[in-house]
Amino acid sequence: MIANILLFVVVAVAGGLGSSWYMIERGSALTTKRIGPWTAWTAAGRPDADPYTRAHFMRRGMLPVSTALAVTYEAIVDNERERLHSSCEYVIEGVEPADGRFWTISVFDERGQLIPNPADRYSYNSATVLRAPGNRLQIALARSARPGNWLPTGGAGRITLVMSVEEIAQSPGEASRQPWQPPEIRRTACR
Amino acid sequence: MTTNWFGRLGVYTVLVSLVAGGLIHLSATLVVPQFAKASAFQRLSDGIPVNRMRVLPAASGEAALLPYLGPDIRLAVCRYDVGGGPVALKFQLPHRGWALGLYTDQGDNFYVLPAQESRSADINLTLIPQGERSFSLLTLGGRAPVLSISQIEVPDTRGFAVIRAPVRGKAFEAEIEAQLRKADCSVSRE
Repeated sequence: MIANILLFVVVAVAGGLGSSWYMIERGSALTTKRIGPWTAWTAAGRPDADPYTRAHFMRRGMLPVSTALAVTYEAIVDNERERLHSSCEYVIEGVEPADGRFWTISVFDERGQLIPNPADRYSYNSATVLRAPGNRLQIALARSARPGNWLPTGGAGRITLVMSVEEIAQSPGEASRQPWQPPEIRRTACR
Repeated sequence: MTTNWFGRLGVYTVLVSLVAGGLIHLSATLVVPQFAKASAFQRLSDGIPVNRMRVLPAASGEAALLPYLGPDIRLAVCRYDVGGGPVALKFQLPHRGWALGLYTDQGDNFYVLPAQESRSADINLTLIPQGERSFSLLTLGGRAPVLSISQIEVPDTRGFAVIRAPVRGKAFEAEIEAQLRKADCSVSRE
């Protein structure tokens, strides 16, 4: 009898609630696209969004942008799958999206708030970033100032990176575009 | 030993637990949007009067109305209510990346209008309750009218119209804010 009750509690209550939390918070292959450390909700802001996607954005208090306008990638881990944290330093490195698409990259604390800093620097976008040789994208994520592109993380604790890339509909007859990969997030040091 | 343990549980309990787990999973997933205490729409409802367009301040470390909203996007928001009659939206989508999004107050984005070079930047739309649509021409300031529908049926009486403008640098901030401030949202008099 006790075994039956325990089974019911574990499978029905814990399993049901736990799997729902995971599918809403982290997503699954059905609702998200994962590229390296980045996750994008494929039906964000769409009229036909699935219940998990809807719940994800409602629960977090976000205003979802339609994936017809922009794809929003979110990273809470680095390339080694370690949680992003302000006690570590990172380099975000990769190539920009082709064809002049507008993109932004911002750093937030765990609650989704921008991290206060004396430089008032919270993000870079395709118009404000300094290009590295070879047109590569290189942004340092660190507590203290770094040369070049630097996003301050202060003492925020756990941090989240959000990269939004404008979507442009492909015109008929246009040569197929090279698939673009979001940049890598490499940890360079930890205190 | 293992067989005995499973045998004691009973196939019936296992099946009931799995079915109940599935129901709890579905219920929890569907209920979350109804009970999200700090949804974007509740946050916006607190500071924005009904049927008025408001330009939100640029997000910063000191103030950000919405989570995960960076300073590279500026928003103008109208909390519409078509219960008292159609609501007219007049705004500009002057550059690539600008867009209008219409949301229900449950957060469903049911309509998107991005800026397009082939279309005038000046847009007039009328939001109407479901079932009250009549056909007209999209008003495109100065240009030859394009056969289109300027009336949009909204699925719920209340919702949000959000104009998004990308900020490509500090030098553009004042101009973008001025353009967003021209946007208007009011009960239609037509």
